[in-house]
Amino acid sequence: MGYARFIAGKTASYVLALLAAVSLLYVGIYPTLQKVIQASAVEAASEFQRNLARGHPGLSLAQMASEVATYKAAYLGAFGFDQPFPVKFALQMANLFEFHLGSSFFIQAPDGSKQVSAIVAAYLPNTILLFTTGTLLVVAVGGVIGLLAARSAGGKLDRVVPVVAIVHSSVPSWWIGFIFIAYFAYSLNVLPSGGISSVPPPAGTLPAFADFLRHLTLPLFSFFIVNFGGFAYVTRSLAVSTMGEDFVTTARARGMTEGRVLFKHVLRTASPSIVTQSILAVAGSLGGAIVTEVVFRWPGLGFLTFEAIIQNDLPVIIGSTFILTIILFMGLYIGELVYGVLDPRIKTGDL
Amino acid sequence: MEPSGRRRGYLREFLRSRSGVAGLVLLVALFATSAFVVATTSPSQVQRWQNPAAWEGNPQAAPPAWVNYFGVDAPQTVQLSLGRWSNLSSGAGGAFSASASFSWEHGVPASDLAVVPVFKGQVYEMDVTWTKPDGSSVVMSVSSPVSGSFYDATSSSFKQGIAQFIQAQTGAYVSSVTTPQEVAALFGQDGRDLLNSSVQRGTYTVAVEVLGARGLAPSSWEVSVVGDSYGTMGTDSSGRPIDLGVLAGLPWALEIGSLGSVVAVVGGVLWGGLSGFLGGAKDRAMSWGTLVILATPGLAFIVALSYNVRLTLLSEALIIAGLSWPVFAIIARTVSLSIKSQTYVEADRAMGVSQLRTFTTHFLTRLTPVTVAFTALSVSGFIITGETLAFLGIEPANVITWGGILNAAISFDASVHGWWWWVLFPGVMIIVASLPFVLVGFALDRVVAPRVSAR
Amino acid sequence: MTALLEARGLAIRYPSPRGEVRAAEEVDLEVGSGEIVGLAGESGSGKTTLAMGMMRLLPPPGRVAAGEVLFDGTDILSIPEERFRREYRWTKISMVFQGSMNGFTPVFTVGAQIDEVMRIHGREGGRAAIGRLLRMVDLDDGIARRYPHELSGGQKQRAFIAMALALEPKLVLADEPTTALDVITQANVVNLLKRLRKETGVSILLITHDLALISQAAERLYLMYAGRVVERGPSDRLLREPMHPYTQGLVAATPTLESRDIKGIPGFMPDLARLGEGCSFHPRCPRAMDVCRRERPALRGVGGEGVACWLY
Repeated sequence: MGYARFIAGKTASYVLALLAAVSLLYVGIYPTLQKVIQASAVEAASEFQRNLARGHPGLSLAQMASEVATYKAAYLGAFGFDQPFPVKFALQMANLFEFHLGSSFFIQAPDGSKQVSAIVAAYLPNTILLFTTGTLLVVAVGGVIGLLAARSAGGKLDRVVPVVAIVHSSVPSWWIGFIFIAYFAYSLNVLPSGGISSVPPPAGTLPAFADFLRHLTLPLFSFFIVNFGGFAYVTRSLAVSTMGEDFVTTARARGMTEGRVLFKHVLRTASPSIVTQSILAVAGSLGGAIVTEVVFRWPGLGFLTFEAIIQNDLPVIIGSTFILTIILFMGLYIGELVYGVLDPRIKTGDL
Repeated sequence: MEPSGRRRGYLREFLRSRSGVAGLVLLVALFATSAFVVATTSPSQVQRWQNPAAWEGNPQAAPPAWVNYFGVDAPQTVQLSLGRWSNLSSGAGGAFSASASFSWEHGVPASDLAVVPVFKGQVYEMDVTWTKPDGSSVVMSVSSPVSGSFYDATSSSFKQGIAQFIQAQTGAYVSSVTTPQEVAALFGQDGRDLLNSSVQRGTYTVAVEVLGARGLAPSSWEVSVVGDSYGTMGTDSSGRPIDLGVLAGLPWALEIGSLGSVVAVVGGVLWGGLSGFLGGAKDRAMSWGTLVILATPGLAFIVALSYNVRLTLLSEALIIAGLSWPVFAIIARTVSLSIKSQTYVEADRAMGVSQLRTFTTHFLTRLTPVTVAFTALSVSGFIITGETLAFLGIEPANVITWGGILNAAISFDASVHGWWWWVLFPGVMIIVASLPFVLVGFALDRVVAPRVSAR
Repeated sequence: MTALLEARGLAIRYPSPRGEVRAAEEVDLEVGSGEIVGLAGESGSGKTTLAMGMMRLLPPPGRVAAGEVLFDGTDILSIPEERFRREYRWTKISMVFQGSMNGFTPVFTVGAQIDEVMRIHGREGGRAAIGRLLRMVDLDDGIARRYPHELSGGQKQRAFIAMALALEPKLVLADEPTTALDVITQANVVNLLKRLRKETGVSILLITHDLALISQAAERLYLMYAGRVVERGPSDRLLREPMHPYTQGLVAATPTLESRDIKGIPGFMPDLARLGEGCSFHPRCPRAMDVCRRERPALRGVGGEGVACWLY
């Protein structure tokens, strides 16, 4: 009961926040967006004209011009071009949320489509794959290391974790990617330098999957190596402060093993805060992750954005930014739901 | 606990942290270097950096000179100074000659021969005669050279002369020659095997003869045997010295890092601190505002915004800060909530102390040390964000950035070619610039963080 | 009466920047089977440290510097940690804490935690057993499904006592079990402890700074000051005719029905890292003599009674 109310509240708050964030984006890119829509209207109109000429060879030039003009006006009308700003805003936002992102200037989806939504859809899964696997790895390994460090407070591991965290906070993950490529791909020649599969990809499901894993290794590892230290440090701090609480002493007095105290009682109690920290970590590491894609030519949204920047393909930049916003919101939202499960005060309706 | 005493306590405790003090020392060194760079760099130097043609005289994609100490034979550039011009003319035109010698003891050829003629008047022809230790010579003729222009193995007239020499030695017809073939010819053992032979060691001579119109006055020419290694950090593929770029990138990194961090932390801490302090519906509204920004993918947003905002140091720092303050707001709100639960805050309310006064006396004094620690800790993040954007090609015009250098490195496949210096040094500089802030930040954080009671 | 628990010459020290803190010195203590024994003293006198030492839960860098603790004849300080954990903690000796308010792990239900402690020590557990325990401390069965934050302070304390009795231990160390409870709940908890002793025959070492509370429950009393036992004896005698000037001061500071005239003991407890030669109480003692400054008085007496004071 408490949890249902919590979910309802969070959902409302996140939906509104997403609207607000996209509005912010909208205002920030307003002039570009108008240009982009006009450009795609021109594109669509010439497409329409070609079809018209093919389908109705008998039309006169004047008739043709008037048909095309009507079509273009209707196209722009759908984006509220002849309307006052609030209507225009509403129409264009609605278009964004329906994934009517227009067509790109140059970039094509693998199937040849120039629809931004199709392009983004083609690149999106790779980003989700790399980013979620990376995040899960960071949270799992960083969390365990942090807990172990907290257990031996003052010990060797406990002294190493802050050092690793310090070094990690000053290294860009994509740059580490560079170094890995130079070393593992070109110097040792043991792993591919980039991309998501060999060209041509090996035949058969299993070899293809192994090939894919080989390509995933370096980007994943460079994302992991730069992010787990900070997370281990945060987990350690949270665990150490939790271990100072009375219930830990009483748990020991109850005759529990250290492992049970640490991995059941301390971890479980600190887990809501750890989830909160994971949420912040996810928000913070997305930027690094998408740039890591660039270095490894991993065909995800980051790589797509980089290509779009190079080619000045504005529709693609806007589209991928919009999708990234939605992804980040989903990630944080899932984090909140997990938090709700972990904190009993939410279940009982006390928070 | 009166505040100034507490502050002095913080300082003493900070000074006890060895890493913190080390960070502080490094920080001072960084800022001093940066100040030096700012004082000695003019805008024209930045423009020169951004013009690849200005660096033609340098070896391209050359490793640092010190690789020679590690068993690599990578000759450095030899600048030749032509001796006095002797006037050969007797009457109508102007004819001058000059020459210079150098000794070559490397096992590999140089990477290029470069000549920049400088003269007043008009030159009809310039002959560069390259004489090897065994006495054979290669003549490269340039007709109507332009004063101040750059002539090297890639110029067609040089190619022509060298191709003739190769043909004469090997007896084979040469349709086109590459620069490595040219330098192999200039340094190799004469004969059939010229292009695959070992390098001749000994004294080489470069002689220049110019023939021009009356009134010709040659002055100091730049003649260089371009090496295979350069400076402390090598060069990029257009010959720009990486060490120069790395040094020139320091002020910008420190500026964007410090400015962004101060704005974001102060803004975030005030927002979050106030939110926790006010509580209730105002807190909920402000926390929601934090969520909106937290959940916007900053980097992608900045890329999108950069098409509508002219990027300067200030605008870029403000945009980055405007999208990264929520983390600080969230932590500050937690701190604020814990202060709020203290009895003296309730006492204030009971005594009718104004809200503003309570906020400034109890909350701001507690939040200030946290702010200082955050600022130091987060500078590295802002440096990295700035460089990341530059790496993606989003940076103000007229600045030299490490991210920009790395962008060029990936565009020219530095990793593929094994040009490690081009990738290594700018990246290491990002770490060097970030690390001291992180060290100081961690030390401060440990000092000001609410400690676990030892019981 | 044979002693269930017997501490002999127990000393607990921990290093600090100011020098070694002597939290407890030369402590002799006995708890008989089925007995309620009080251990009283001002806060900071070393009572809690002593209990933690006997439970082998001293927070580092604290350590037992000397002495032994015999439980049923076994020195529980010298056996291996794993054996102590398995055979003694909670199974033979359990504890009710000063902070039992926060003694339950906040994210598990009360029932789950009682069940857990039973299972890790190889008992059956289960809803029926938990219900029986909760009813024993006058709580409703439904409490088992509640989270700690849903309970009141008194309910939490009762639930914790139920958990302390879950494995039918022979001894419960009750460290300030009533602090932070209101007066009526305090009395209820004390009555509960007395009743449980009667029903289960468990021995209880009741540690508190509250003499009024102890006088209701304990048969025998130890008084600690600055880490040492300064007086011991049957509680009615000790409270009626206190011998040690510290006990006298403490008794005078306790409000009773007859006299509302409360007098505190002037001065403060000495720094346990810088104890001098003489009696630790002499700076505050109204009857201090020359010898008190020079030499520390030993605890002397016959049978269960004794006092450490030069006056006797």
